[in-house]
Amino acid sequence: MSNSTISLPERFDFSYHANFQEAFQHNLNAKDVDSIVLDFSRVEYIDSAALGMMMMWQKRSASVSKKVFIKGARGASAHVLAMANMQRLFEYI
Amino acid sequence: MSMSELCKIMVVDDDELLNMFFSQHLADEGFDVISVFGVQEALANLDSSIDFILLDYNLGDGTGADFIEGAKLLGLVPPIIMASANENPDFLKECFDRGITDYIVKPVNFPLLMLKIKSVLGQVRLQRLIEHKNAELYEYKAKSEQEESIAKFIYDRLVNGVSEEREGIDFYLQSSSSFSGDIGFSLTSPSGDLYILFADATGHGLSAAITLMPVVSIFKSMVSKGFGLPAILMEINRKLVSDTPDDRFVAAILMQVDAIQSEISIWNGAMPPVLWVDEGAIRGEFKSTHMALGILPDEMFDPSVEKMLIPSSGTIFCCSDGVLEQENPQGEEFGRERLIRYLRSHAKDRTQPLHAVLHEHAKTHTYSDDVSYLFIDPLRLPSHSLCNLDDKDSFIKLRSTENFRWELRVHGQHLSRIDLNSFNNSLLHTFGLQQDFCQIAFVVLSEMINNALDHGVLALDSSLKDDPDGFARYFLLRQEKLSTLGSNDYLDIVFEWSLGSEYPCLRITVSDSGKGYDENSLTGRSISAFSGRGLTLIRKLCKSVTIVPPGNKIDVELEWR
Repeated sequence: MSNSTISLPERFDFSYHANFQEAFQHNLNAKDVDSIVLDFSRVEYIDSAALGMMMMWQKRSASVSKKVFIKGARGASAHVLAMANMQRLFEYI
Repeated sequence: MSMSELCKIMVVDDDELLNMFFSQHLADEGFDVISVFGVQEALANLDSSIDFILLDYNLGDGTGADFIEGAKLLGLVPPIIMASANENPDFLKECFDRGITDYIVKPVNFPLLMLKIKSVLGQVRLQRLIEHKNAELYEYKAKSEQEESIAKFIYDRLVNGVSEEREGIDFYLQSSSSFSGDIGFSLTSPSGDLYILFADATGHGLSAAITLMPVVSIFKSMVSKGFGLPAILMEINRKLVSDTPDDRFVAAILMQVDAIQSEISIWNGAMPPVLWVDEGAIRGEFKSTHMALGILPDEMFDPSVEKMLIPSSGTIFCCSDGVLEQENPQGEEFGRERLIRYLRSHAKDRTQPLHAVLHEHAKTHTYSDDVSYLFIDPLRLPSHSLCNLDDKDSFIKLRSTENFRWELRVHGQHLSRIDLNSFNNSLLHTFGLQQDFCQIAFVVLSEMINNALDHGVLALDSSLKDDPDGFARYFLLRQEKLSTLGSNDYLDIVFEWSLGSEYPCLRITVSDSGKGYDENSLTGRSISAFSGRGLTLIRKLCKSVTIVPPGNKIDVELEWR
């Protein structure tokens, strides 16, 4: 089993939903992937739609027993993630 | 092209019959011929269009020697073949001393004369070609020197203009030409972090220096706006990918020294390893884990950094491959072993610089590649970049940004065409607000604009977003509605920055042409609900939030503290 990383864009917002959905769906279907890492290292801006997408896909992942992690969040995006209490749903690595 | 084509020959002989004989034959060979019969007549007809002269020695009004002297005075001496019956060696020597090109004995063997003429004309052409090329080369050289001096001026301004001399950072560069493809310098960000750029562009000389220019200017402007390394790296990479040829890229090490967290972030793309040397031992090594800048497309480029705690002793070292690859006369590279041996001894005795050791190895002072290296001595870094005064500096800088107010109304199709979030963000940057504050303002503003546009102007129902497929449907519906917007649809955005009594404050007001929305349908839910999250986020980030009935105007205050 392995983990798979989704590298998020500089502007992680509503406009990214199609790519995000595709990446997640791919990982949920992949039998050898048991955890998914969201790499925030390049994210400068994040919006509430992105938070919504994260929560939705976290739920779906949990339903097939796959874990989702947050990695490399900094600055304002780390701030916003913390305010939305994302640490309750996601583990940080 | 035949040898005779376009060639103009002057035949000088006082024997009319012989003159006619030569002239006729030469004309038959295709030459343009002028026949003259004496020294004075020859000088009178001499001009720069004459390529060649067949000259008899004994002329009625003087000698061939007189003609040559006269022609010299006029500054016109084309190649000359002298024809005479005199075979006396002293006489021949005198003629050649005067500058004739060849000599032929009378009676003239005409086929031999033709061969001599062709040979002389061949030399003349070659001579002219060389003169012409020389003139071209000279002109080219002058032009290129002038261009180089302009480029050098711009390059020096750009590079020296940013470089800050800093205690604790020692940068050495020996460039292989007047332009360097290596560069190293440091800058302090508004929050007090120290940023270091150390780069080596493909090749050397002007073409390498040119690729460094965008690197330097992006680095400079983004550090001053307070961006982090990943954002800076993404931007530099993007610029180099789009604006430089495919075979040009930039190997680089970027570092950010964060005094508050007491850590150093390092990104190494295709440079030799960054080494932490302490007490004669290599204590840490950061190898290149990335490709050079300017190769990978955005989605494949990895800007993630490695981190280390700021060491309390020792030095951090990095160099360009010019150091490692420098060969000695036997063809052996300086190499990693010699370097590490040097660094170990350097830790104990710092009197001998690395470039002296390198000279000793290479036995030369002129290198085939740019050679550069950088020592960072954390203990010697100025205290201001290593102690916690930074927040205050940044605060003072922000406070000094004077008040401004900005109003914008956007109608109809502009709403779907313009990226209002980016536009407003660059506006805030323009007024000098720092990146960390701009990021938060961006979050708030984009939530406000999205709410006003989606639920106000477009009257979209956010409950659509309750499941993943709904997101896609919502997005399509949004695109569709955006395309129908007309001049009665609009958004108003107002920014007002004021220094206030306690903390500086950014007031943002967004109103729209929509009917307004029921606040209760959007708030009062937990932040984990799939919609209504935007407003909750705004409330958490702002000092105050007011929604003006009937709900198509929102007014927030964002404090800088």
